Amino acid sequence: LIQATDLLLLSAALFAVGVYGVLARRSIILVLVSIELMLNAVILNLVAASLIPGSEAASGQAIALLVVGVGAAEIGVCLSVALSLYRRRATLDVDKIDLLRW
Amino acid sequence: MSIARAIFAVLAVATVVLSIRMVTTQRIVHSLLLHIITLSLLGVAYLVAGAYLIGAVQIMVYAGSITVMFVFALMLAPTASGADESLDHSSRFRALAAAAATFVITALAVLAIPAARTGIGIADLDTVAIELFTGYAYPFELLALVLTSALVGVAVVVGRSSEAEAAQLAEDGDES
Repeated sequence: LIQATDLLLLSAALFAVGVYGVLARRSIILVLVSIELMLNAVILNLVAASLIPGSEAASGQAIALLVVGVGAAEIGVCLSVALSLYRRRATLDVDKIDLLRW
Repeated sequence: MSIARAIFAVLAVATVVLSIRMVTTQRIVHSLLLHIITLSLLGVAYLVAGAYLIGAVQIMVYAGSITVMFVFALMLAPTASGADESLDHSSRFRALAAAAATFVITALAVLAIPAARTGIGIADLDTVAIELFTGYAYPFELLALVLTSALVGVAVVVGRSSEAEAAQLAEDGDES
């Protein structure tokens, strides 16, 4: 049967891929896609934690559902900010959007 | 190794391979399509693992609506979809090192869990539903509030920038 370790290892791999995407991509949209991947790894981790004996079995899945909702709200706001930036600066390149950097 | 575990292993490998392709492909549209496939496969993996509600929500919310939002955002910003310049930073090897370090450290932490504590026994739908609407009833209602305020925030951000754009267009018109 599927062990909690299997899910945790898959979660670790997806999170690492997300880290690479966030650091290596230049387009804001692709950075956001990678952040989504990392968020999915976190949700997978919560589900895996609910598999570990002695834990509150249902809590992990309940919290995971709440995280899904918060993630949806986050992506909506992020994309609207990206769209607003594109209208003002005509670019989605994170290297060229240095409004807050200095 | 049981059949369920073998299926899960295949799904896990496919998910990771497709997600790696997702962060390395040089076309934004391909990246978004691979995002849909990756998250759908992850949803199927949840179903195989026995977390049915999370699996269904994963496919509906992530593979469905969130990726549609990404595609909409991409279509509203058309110059970003061209393949004329690289989508990656030149320092991608440092990013690769950071990602590899993340994976190694996390995997070591996972493998350090004693075998006795990595059992199975995922909660069924009834237990999750009861937990969600008793112990987590207030967070669940607060989530509705968060989504509503996010909706208002999106309207304010996009609406304000379109006003600024209109003002900019009016100025350009005066100059010419």
